[in-house]
Amino acid sequence: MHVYYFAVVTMQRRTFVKVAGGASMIGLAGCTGDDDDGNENGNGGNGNGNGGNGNGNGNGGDSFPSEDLRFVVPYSAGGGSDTYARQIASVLQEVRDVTITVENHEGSGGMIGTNELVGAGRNGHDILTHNLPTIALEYLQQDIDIFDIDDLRGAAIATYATTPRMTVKNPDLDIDTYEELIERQDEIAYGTPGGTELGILQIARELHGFEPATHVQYDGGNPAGQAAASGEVDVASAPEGSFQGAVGSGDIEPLFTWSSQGSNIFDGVPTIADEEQGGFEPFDWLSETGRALWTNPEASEEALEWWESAIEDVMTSDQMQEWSDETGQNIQFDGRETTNASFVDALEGLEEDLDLEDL
Amino acid sequence: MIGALNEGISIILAGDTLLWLALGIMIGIVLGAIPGVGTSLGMAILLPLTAPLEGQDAIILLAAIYLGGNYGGSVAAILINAPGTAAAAATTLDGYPMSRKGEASRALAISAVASTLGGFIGIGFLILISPIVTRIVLQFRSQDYFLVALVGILMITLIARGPLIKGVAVGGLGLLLTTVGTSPLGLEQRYTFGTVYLFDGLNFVAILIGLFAVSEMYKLMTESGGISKGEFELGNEIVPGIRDALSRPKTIVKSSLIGIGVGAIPGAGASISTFIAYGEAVRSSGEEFGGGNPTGVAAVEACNNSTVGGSMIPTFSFGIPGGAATAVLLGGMLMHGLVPGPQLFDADLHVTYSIFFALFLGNFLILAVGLLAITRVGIVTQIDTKYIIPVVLVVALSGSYMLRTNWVDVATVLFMGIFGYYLRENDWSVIALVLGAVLGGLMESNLNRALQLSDGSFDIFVSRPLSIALTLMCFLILFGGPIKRKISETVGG
Repeated sequence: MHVYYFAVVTMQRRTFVKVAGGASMIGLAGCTGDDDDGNENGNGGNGNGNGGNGNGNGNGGDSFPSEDLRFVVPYSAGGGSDTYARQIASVLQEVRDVTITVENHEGSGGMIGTNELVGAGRNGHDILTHNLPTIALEYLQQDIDIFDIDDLRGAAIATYATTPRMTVKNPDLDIDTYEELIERQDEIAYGTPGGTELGILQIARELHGFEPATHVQYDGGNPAGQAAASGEVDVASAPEGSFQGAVGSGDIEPLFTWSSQGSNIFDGVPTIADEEQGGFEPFDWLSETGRALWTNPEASEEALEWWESAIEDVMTSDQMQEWSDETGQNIQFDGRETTNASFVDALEGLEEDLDLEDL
Repeated sequence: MIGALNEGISIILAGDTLLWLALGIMIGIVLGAIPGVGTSLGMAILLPLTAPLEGQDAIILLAAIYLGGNYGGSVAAILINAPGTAAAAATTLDGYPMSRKGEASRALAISAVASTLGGFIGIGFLILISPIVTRIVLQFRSQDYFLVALVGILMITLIARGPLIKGVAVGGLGLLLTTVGTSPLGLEQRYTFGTVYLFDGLNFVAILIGLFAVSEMYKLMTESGGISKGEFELGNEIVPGIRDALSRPKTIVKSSLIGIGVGAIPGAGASISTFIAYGEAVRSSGEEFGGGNPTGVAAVEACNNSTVGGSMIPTFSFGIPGGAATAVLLGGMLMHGLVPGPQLFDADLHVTYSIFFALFLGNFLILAVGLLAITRVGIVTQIDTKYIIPVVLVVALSGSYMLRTNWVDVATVLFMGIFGYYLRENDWSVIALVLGAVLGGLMESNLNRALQLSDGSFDIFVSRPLSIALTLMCFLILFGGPIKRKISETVGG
């Protein structure tokens, strides 16, 4: 039996603890074996980190947690999700005096790791990091049948970072707006890391009539950015962090963000919804990637509350803010209600608005 | 450039940086020597522990583990035919036969000296070209990556022993293995039999462990005594080993340059560059290889350490890792706020130089540890195989599980062990299979991209000077020998 808890959450919190001027790791991780939008490079090992402090039960005498905790990372060690996970786990040990082990269960776009969480039967002692809406997209695209993703409804704990998707161009390309890009789409070679970007392309075609002459799929956002810098393709689209280094050096230039929220990293980058870009209808549910956490489907309400509270403590802690300041990783905290709502939006939006066969 | 270099050097010499460098090298050597475990796992475990360190110290620690691991991988490759890392797979070709002849310490000495020299040349060359490295990277297009992989595949014609048709057939089988899983340019599932555990395909490190380490253990089960069948003399082998390496400067320089060049190609790395370096050594020397030729060991070892420098190029310039270890290194860079990008070869060149210079110094430590300590490990080849075999099998199987926590990798190791044994016993080329398995993914994805960009036209392979040069190189590898013979015959009358 799976328990859904939408009603019990009383307060929606969307606390941007820090939207740093630095990188989001989502895009960069796309080529490090992490992430929604990149085929994995190499063979990242299975990392086990964050050796515990030997005290499995903390939390002032509460019955949860009753055993050691486990952080399941469905991507390879060293990628963006892995780095966030190890940092969060490390701070969690400090602020809650618990033991938590990070395990990488990579493969199949994070579905192997998700299956590990769903099938573990550990009553809320595991958490999984995955991305929204990517978790739903990967499940549906790959037609996964080893677990039922609906089991995770209500098991989302928090969203801890968000990254908009951005399109960049080769500096020699004389196009400055999304509208112009659409007008000249017959001559455009467009590079992406695939994954969610395929969905964005499909929606953009349906809503805005954008259909570039050539679409080339790369092994991640960074290779797509490099292809735009070298002139192999004219424009590239990926999570914005993928482009930070090359934009900084002037090898590529930001064109626009797909998300109407704009960029977290770059100043003054327009969005497709801006008038000067043509005022196009945004679809943020797909073009903003959220890093989120889930626990085991059978977790009790007590476990869910414990996790939400613990993750809030972590994300608002001085340690995380210092880490964010030092590394430029953006951090935030959205609670269960918002994250579960986003998860449901992703599941239902993908099924209703995307033609998965056509991706 | 000089100012940036001075600044980089002063960063290294200040504080505890040298200590972290030394620690990283030592950890890397140990981890690299364990088949399947590899350097990336060690780097990943240490990643969160680097949080209190200065950013550059952390990156240097991780990069030093990577460098040390590339050297350490050759130790098990030479002693027990079990490459600790993919970079050391080609070391087995002549390194292990040397151990079988009782020359393990000599091979280890060659490895230490050639690795060090390769590291010096690779990093030194990288320091020299750093200001223009981004421009060089941007010259490469998808068709060029495909052509470099094709050069690697064509090495089968040079490296594979026995009838060429058998080498080509097995190479094709290797390519076929890489088609298991989700198509790189679509969502088609190929040969996955509906199991999600095959969606990402077979792991080539697992394939390597099976083909080399496990198949060799099967073979050793039929023998008694130690691995070494020759007379083992510990002390007397080290100096000849050093001399072997130093007397092959041309091989070492050439292999080092191949290492840095091919290592810079994302997704290629040392697993390809070492085979190309080995193939070039075979082509240019005219000697017999595969039976314990020191030139084969020197070529591969010089190459795999210089590849470390090469692999830093795409990682630093565009955040594109060439493999698992550089992926973790990239994670470390991001974690410590060092954003990869062309500016690391421009405005922040001093930061990059500090890391390169640290690796340059790290090679001295590899030399010292390699000659003073590692060569002593050659004694392992004297131990009865009834003790060696269970240890290697346990390490190989558990290591393969740790690759992705996926039982498919364990099954791959076991099956490839049997298959590798069959191939060797029947004079089929294991190396051809490895080349196909390592290069297949790189070839397929880049070939598809190139043809997408050209709208299906193969003209793209002769559309730019670099592509033409690489296409020409492919033709020369295939037809250079016959053409040369024909010319000689014609000239000779």
